[in-house]
Amino acid sequence: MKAVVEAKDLARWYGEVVGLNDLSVTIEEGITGLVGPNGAGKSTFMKLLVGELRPSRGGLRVLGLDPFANQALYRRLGFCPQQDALYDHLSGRGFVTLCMRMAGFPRAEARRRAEHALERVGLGDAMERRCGGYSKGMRQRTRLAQAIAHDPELLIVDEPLTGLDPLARHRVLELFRELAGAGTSILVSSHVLHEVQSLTERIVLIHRGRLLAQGSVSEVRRLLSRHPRKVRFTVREPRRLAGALLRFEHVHSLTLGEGGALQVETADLEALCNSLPAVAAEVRPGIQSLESSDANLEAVFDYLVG
Amino acid sequence: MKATTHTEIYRPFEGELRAHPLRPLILARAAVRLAFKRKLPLLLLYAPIAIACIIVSFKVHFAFSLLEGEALGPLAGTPQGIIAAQRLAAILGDTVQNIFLFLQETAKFVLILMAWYGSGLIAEDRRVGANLLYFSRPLTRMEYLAGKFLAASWFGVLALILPCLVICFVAAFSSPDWSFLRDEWQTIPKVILFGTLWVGTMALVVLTLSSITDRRTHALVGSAGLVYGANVVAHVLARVLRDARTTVVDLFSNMERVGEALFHVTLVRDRAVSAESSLTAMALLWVLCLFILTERVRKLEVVA
Repeated sequence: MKAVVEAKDLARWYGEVVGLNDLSVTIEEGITGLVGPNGAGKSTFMKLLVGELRPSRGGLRVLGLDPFANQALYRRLGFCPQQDALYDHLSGRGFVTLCMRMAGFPRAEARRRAEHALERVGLGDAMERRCGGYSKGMRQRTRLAQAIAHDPELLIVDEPLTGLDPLARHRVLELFRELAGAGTSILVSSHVLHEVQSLTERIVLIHRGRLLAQGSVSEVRRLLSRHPRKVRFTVREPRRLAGALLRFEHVHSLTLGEGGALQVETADLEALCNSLPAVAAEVRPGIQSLESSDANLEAVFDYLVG
Repeated sequence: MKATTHTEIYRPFEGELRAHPLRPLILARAAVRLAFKRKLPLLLLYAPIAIACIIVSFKVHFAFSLLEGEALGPLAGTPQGIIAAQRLAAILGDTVQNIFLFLQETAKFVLILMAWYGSGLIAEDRRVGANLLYFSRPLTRMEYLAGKFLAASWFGVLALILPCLVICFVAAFSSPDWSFLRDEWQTIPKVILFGTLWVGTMALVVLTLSSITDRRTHALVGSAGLVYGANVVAHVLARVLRDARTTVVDLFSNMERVGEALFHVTLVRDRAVSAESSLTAMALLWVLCLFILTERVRKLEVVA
């Protein structure tokens, strides 16, 4: 896959405060989640990507171009910032049309695109209203509309789900999937980790200005070998299953719970899964369900950052 | 939300994305439209100027009518009528002087008007983070600055230069045999030059203050305080030190001196500061404002 972002030893300081430090990362086409706790450097990284900031050190290429003050690149980028960025006295359509005019579209085309984008984000009925009267979610969607209206190759969205109700979140995530399906690369930063994971498996995890992990969530989880994987079983005969699993070396601990619950901590989830059919056939514990509770992004995040 | 909207295929743009040669104009137009959406300030700030313009226009028209003898009724053509007309016309004043005085007085009010409309141009962008959207578009920082400068200037042009041109227009039509146009045509370019100088200076001052703070009200108070404060300080110092040269730091006095030299009108005899010194002081102010503005806009990335 083609790399849309390539950062090498990227650093950015704000006076004595380190925003980003020695970040080397390659982001490929498709959807990538940028995650990290508050103050990790996500927004700084995004501002560097859209050319708002000049790197203090290191190199950065976005779509093969240096992003700082690069007019040619800005036509191919869509940026939805976390900040409010709207003028209260302009209508939603007026605001997005202005952004499209700035992007270089003729007046009529800018207006058409603004209307179309606002309809896409679900503001078709409210586009004539002043932004000052919009709810937080509507303002968020207006910002998103200006980011997608010019059909960018790379869409960079900072906390796009903040302030959205569950239905709007779902629709925005659908929109991202649709855009990605049409060939748009998306870099999305969000605190809503399970929704990021529902959107993409690929993550870039930043903490204290440094790259902490990169890759698919399952790959990253596999690399965290010091944290045994937890598997929760619901079984008719939990003691019988526990006894059978004890003989495996990769099983670190077994915890019996109420209602037939059994939690297994293993160093090798794959080996456990492979051995399960034989164990089940041998001791017939009556396995009703099993789930790996710490294989998701939230658990990975906790292990890495917490 | 419409369920169908998310199944639409995005329509590709067949045309060519071009760098609009007048992008600052697009930005300025948007800023002006945005500012004029609030009708009450528009009415309160522009109505006094419109009223003053109508009064001065009427004064100019009446003065020309008197000289033509149209307004004298039965006295027209009589020696008493001619004397009365000349005295009345003298009371009403010379047309050029009237235009200059209107410019001078309006200019002081235009400061408040421009500060009201211009103080939020950069400060508000910083506060809401709109500059993040602008600078992720093909818009350079200099174009952004030019757009904001044009917007700030436009408010002043509407309030200062346009009414003066209206008065010139009235004078041209009222004067016998187009004598105003034949004899005083230089007044029109002088009005434009003086107005541009004043509006440009004010726009720079207001934008500079707007770029320093992220609160519109701070910029508004700062702009008005700076200009009026310098006026007060200059005159107090002149009184205390008994030296009128301190008025070189006062923008109003400087503009008055430049205006006197430009329109060949004398409001105050024996000026302690020459028009050249006033122009030099203003040029220093422009350089300072431009330096601060370019630095602040360049550093918008850091403070955003």
